[in-house]
Amino acid sequence: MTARRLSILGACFLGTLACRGRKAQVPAGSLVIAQTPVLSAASSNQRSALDARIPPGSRVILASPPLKPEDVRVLSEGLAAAGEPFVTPDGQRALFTGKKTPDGAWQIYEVLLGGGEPRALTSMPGGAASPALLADGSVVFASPVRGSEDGWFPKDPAALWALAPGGASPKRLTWGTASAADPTVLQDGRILFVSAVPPESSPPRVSLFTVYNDGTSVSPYACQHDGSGEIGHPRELPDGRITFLSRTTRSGRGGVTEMILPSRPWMSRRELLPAAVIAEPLFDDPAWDEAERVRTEPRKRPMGRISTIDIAKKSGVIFCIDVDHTTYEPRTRAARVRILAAGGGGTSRPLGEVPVHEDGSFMAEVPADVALGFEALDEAGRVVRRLPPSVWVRPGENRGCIGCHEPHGLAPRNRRPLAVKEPPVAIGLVARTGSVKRSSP
Amino acid sequence: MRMRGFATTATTGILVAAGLCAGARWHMLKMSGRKDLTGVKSCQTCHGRPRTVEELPWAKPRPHHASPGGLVVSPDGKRLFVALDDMDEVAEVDTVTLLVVRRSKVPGGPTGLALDPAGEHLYVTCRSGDRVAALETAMLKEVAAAPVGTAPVGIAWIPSQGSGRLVVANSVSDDVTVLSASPLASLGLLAGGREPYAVAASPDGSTAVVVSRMASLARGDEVPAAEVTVVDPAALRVVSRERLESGHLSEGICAVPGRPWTLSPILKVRNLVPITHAAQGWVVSAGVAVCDLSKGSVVELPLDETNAYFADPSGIAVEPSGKRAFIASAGANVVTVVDLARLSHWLETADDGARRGAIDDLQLSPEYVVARVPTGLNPRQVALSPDGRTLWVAERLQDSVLALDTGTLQPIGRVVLGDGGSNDPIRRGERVFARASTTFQGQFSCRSCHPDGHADGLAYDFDIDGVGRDIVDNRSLQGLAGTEPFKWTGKNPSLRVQCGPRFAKVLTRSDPFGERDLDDLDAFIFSLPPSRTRSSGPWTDAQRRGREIFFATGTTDGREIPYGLRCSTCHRPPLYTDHLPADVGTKGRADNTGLFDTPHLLGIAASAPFLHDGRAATLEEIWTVYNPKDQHGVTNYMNKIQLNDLIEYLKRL
Repeated sequence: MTARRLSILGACFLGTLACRGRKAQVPAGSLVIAQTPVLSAASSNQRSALDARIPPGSRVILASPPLKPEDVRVLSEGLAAAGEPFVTPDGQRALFTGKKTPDGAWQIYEVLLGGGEPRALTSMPGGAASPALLADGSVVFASPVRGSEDGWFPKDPAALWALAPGGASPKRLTWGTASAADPTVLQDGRILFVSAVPPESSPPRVSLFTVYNDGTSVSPYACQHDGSGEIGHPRELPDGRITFLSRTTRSGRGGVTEMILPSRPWMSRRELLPAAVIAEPLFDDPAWDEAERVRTEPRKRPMGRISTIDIAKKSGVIFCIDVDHTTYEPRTRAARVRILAAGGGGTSRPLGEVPVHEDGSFMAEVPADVALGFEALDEAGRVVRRLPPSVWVRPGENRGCIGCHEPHGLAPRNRRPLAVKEPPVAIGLVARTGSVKRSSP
Repeated sequence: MRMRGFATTATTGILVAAGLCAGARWHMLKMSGRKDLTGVKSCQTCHGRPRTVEELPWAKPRPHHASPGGLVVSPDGKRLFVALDDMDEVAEVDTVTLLVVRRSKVPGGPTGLALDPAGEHLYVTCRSGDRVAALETAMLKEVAAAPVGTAPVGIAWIPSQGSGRLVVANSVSDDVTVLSASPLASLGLLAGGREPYAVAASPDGSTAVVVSRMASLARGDEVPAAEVTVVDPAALRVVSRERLESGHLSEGICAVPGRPWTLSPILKVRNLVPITHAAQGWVVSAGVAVCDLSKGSVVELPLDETNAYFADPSGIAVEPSGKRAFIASAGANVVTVVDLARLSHWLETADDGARRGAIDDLQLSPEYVVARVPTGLNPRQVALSPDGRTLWVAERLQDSVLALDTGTLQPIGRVVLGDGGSNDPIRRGERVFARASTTFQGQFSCRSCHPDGHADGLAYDFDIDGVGRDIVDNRSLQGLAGTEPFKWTGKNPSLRVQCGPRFAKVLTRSDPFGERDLDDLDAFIFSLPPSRTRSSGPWTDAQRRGREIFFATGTTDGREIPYGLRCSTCHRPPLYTDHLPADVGTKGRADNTGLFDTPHLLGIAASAPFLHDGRAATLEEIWTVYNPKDQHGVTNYMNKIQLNDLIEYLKRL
């Protein structure tokens, strides 16, 4: 055997070992656990709610059966604090939120469960938090990290972003006036996240929303009418139920775990377990508080979806089947709809008005990636219903709505809206982008 | 010198290429009779196509499977009869051992089954044989037969007038045959809805109720509706026609003991709403229509949930006690269990507005849906034992029948009828075609809009061309092999492109089909023969005259018809298409183009409505209403008889 052949064989052997290292399966029953030190003094510099939830010294570990505290591997080795672990559906990697120094910014890290050092995936100004994984392998996260005093409607609200595998720069998905937080990816491929209904009257109502993987079709999911309590950390159980933590303030630990049924999300909110039930911990280390644990078994990848946006466009189309289909009383008939765009400091500015057809429908071409609001106006120009800037269309998105504050969980009536028989009315566009009518000034 | 040689060679090459292109273009324009074609089409557009239909996949032999169709249980509960249409057989199953004890050959695609009250005679509709056969159950032998309408499917025994009567739903001829049971003979034919499909006796047994699978043809913005036809078999007349608004794919109907109701599973189509997404039941949702025969009212209720769909509800059975209904959700592989007392309570307490809008309320079904029971692949028909303790579920695409204990809702066992056909790409393709899990939240399957691979007769507005733009009629997939390109604009050169990522982006809003699924879909769809039509038997004089008109080169008053405006130029045999787009003067306000694919004409009579947006309800309208300038062939010289002859010929194709 020649030296050359030997060297090739040797390389193959090493390559095989390397591959094994990358593909190494962690033992069945392993858990990825977020731990915070017991009796850890709250950071004196709690710039964000995340600083309070993940105090300095917090870490992410891998525990394998028999789940002994002395036999764990620290996945966030070298970081000053880490938490919010997420295990990819293939069970090979963990993502988590971490920071290198106590005063540094939170960013998203990735680590192979089979072994290796954590690697920073993001370098977002203002930080990044709460990673999850889309079907195409993109990492979705929230950024910037909300400040502890920001509330839900800060000047620079947190948005959801998606970082494609190997992608250089993340793409922004959400454009609301309220911060978006705690994204998780549902089996149907949508991103479920926490945000707030714009405050027509304070305080804002924190609730669950969904958006597709390209930022289109932002929609309420649940809890929009449940008062002002804070909620967070939504997750989908294998049977489809949605759980989330409910607490009076976002900075406290613990709280009540609640659930909703996806079959009727606005009618089924309740506590996940009766108060009398005390679950036995799967893993308990007296030196640490276990904040969260995630199983490492491979699970089904969520459904994917091909993006419908056209990034070359600057606008999208929004049509409403019947603006008078509403739960609001009195159901005053609308003659026009004024479309608003978010301004600075919680204000809004009118973009223009669009006529409402006889059947209650309207259609407009509107600027993309801008928080939009709507005011239904009667014949005299009085506002009869109002949605503050909170929804948006992505470039090239066609967005259909059933009504204006219509009941939740409705499918559309089968009829062709009169408005779609004519080109959309252009509202607030700088330049023409197609066959559209201009709105009246 | 070398440069000069190169220049000479290059110039010569360019001139030869230009000459070839010019020649090819001349040939293309001459043979197509068209002046509006741009560029040069690939030679393969016209050449390299099948020269005869015998070369096509659907004309070749294919594997047959023991796919269970209709089910019926003997009055003593000891025997289950199963129609195996693809095998031309009826099977008898021992309900204790779950073994097939006998199989009997019944030619003509046995589909629907009904027993007389004594269980002595089994009546079988033969879908491809256009007949009803009577079998003695003692020996499972055919003892009598009677012709009925075209493609009979559903059948029910109605305890009426002495020996009883049979009512049969004829799915292609859109009518209902009433027969005497003994002797087995046709007594009369009544007009049904569009594609009558399932039949049941009314709650009091005096009438028959027939549900049509297709919504009636609707023009433009009209809301389509399927129909429950109430038939008095004694008087041989239709008593009433109840409208299932936006109802479609109604493949089952059942009376409810103790209530004046019939229940029909439906798909609630929303074809008039621009398809901008799939969530919120935006495309279609599953429901059940409650028809109160005492009031003549219909309430449609959802079977789906806010974030989950149970596509293609098909067969239905109601317990003898009238307490629960079992509905097979064929696209979701579950049986949905409905508590009828809870449903009744909701109906009694809801106001008129709530009842009218119930079908659109996707949070409503937990009020009365009490269980979802998983099944094998493609549960279609269901039957209950006379004591109501066992539910039999035909798992059509895995060749088995599931037995469920209705008390525990747990499986008792499974009747194995065949090997499932997993090695057959056509069968695998049909599974892909019938499963809804590939669409967002499982809302619909390919079959939802293409039952049996045919079309639902509805037009849709896909938003990719702009909201409200390019509204297109759904096209049949039957007889599609060899007719490329696809899509009304003719932009998709193959089925793989048609069903590929663009399809997922525009319609299913989910992951696209994988490579193997696409291969199998190809095999299944190309195995579908052209649609059946009513015309069969020897050629009539009208059909012969119509054929002469179709191939005519001149008008009856002696004028020559330009080559490009003859029927047979664009609709060229054997598939009656030239595979090219054509402008036949039908561009409407909402259309981005006037050039539309030339459809093949095999089975065209079964594919109403016609033209790219479905504006023509009948073949006649294509020329009497929508061809004023003779752009769609020179036809305005024809008198009424000539046009009728032409249409008779087309119906024969």
